[in-house]
Amino acid sequence: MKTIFKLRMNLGAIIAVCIAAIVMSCTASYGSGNSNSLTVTEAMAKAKKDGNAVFLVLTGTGDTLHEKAMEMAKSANKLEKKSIVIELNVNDTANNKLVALYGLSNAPIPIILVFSANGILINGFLYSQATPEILVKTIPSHKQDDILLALSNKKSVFIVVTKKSYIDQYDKISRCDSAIAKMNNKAELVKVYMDDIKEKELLDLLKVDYTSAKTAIVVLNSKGVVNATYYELTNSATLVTAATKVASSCCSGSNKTCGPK
Amino acid sequence: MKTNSKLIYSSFISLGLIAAVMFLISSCGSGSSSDKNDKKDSSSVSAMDTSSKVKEVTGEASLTEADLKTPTTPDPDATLSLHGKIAKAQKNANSVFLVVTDKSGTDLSKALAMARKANKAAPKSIVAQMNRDDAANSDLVKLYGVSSAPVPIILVISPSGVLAGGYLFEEASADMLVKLIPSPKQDLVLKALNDNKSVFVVASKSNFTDKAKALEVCKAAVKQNGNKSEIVEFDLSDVAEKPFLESIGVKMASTTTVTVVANSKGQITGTFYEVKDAASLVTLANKIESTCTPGSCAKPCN
Repeated sequence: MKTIFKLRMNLGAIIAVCIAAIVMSCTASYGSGNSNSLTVTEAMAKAKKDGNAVFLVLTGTGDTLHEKAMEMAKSANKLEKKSIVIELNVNDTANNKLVALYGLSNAPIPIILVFSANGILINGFLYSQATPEILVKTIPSHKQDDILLALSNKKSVFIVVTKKSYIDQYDKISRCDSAIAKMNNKAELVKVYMDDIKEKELLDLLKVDYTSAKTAIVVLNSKGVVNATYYELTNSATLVTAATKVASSCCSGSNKTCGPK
Repeated sequence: MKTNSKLIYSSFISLGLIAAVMFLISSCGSGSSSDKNDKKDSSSVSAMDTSSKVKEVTGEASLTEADLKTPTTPDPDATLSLHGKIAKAQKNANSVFLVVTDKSGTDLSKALAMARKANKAAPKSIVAQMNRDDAANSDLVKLYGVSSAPVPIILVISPSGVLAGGYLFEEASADMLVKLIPSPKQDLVLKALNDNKSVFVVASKSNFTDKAKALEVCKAAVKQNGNKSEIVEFDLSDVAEKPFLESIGVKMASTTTVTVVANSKGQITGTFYEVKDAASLVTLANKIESTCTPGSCAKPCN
């Protein structure tokens, strides 16, 4: 579990953010779905601004399943109101940059990509693999998205897990703020409420004990590795150490993993 | 989500990698779930469900004009210091709604109005005010950990003198403050935790034949643990304690005595519906979950 964010960062977040960034900056010219009058770039930028996830349906010549893929994306869109559907034709020369970027020229289509509300590419599915439910489930929770965004910006993350009624959160947030200042803002603070059912999956992944009577601080380094979880008030120097520590105990250069046995 | 693990297309490297990551994340997620004690997991879900259903009206919006009127009845404890008021409240088994401000006193009158409203709804309580910039209150500021909290903030001090929680004025309502007052037995649990002791919650009914044995084992565990644990007995038919017991995952319909172990950090480390041995209880009472020092969390290579 401790390695999940490392994996996410190493294999996912960096690539995803790079792709997302280029998507955002690309001047693709084909957009449809819920944003008919906009280019893909404009539609995605608008989605990000509006806090919407994106189901990007890739299509092209000979795509006999295109309508079904669009239908599926739209079904997912109905299940998740904070989302939009955008269509991208890989054979449209205006989209060459995107096609090259993704290596889509020989890709079996249709494919549906899922972007988070923060504009991060989370995953993609062949039509045959996707269902509206899978597409929706791929969208990260709000706080998970914030964490991914911080990691994609190569920042460490202090996740403060608390309840509104927990008074100890304020001193702990203050310590985190001090740590962030000491790190020249190379870290972000993300507050998650233990009783927020939408974040249950995230809290489970982080193995935070949300029956705890105390606020917890989970420290991720910029690689997304969970380096520490503190239930006690911890000084800012310790937090900085935890946030900047890059464990090299195993896995590097080997085929072995740090995952749980 | 396992379908996410499949590579979408061999040359579709980046997307495939992300898919793989999603699979690993899913795997980790399901792994962590299976690692968890089922009872604990269900209790957490239950707690989440109840708290996320209702959106409270908070802050000034929760107050009426009548609430904001200055009370005409004089405070009988006006001459007491803050320390004196809190001590008296504890002696009288009253809770305290403590309105904390700084020297600016921003929104003080509104926060006091909210505390008074809560006080009306909870007769066994008093209202007190603390200026955290006043040097005379520095020990209380430290004790309650409010030196850096945004103010005004309203704290709830339990009858046993323990900080039960609190809310920023803007996030609070009188009803929410009243709900923070612990039940009598819950207060004993809070007191033990506040004293850095672990707790054995023993929930039973008078006619349960295993109750005596469960208590006996807990007493032995307390002794083995150098009296660094407390036993708090609950009656499963006590409706006043039901919300707390449910919040820690106790099945109220149990036909056997339930023993819940909380470590000194307040983490639930075990829930049992059969009588355990004392040594196991001591181990669980001293088990601290999920805390590690930097770098020490790395798992061994598989």
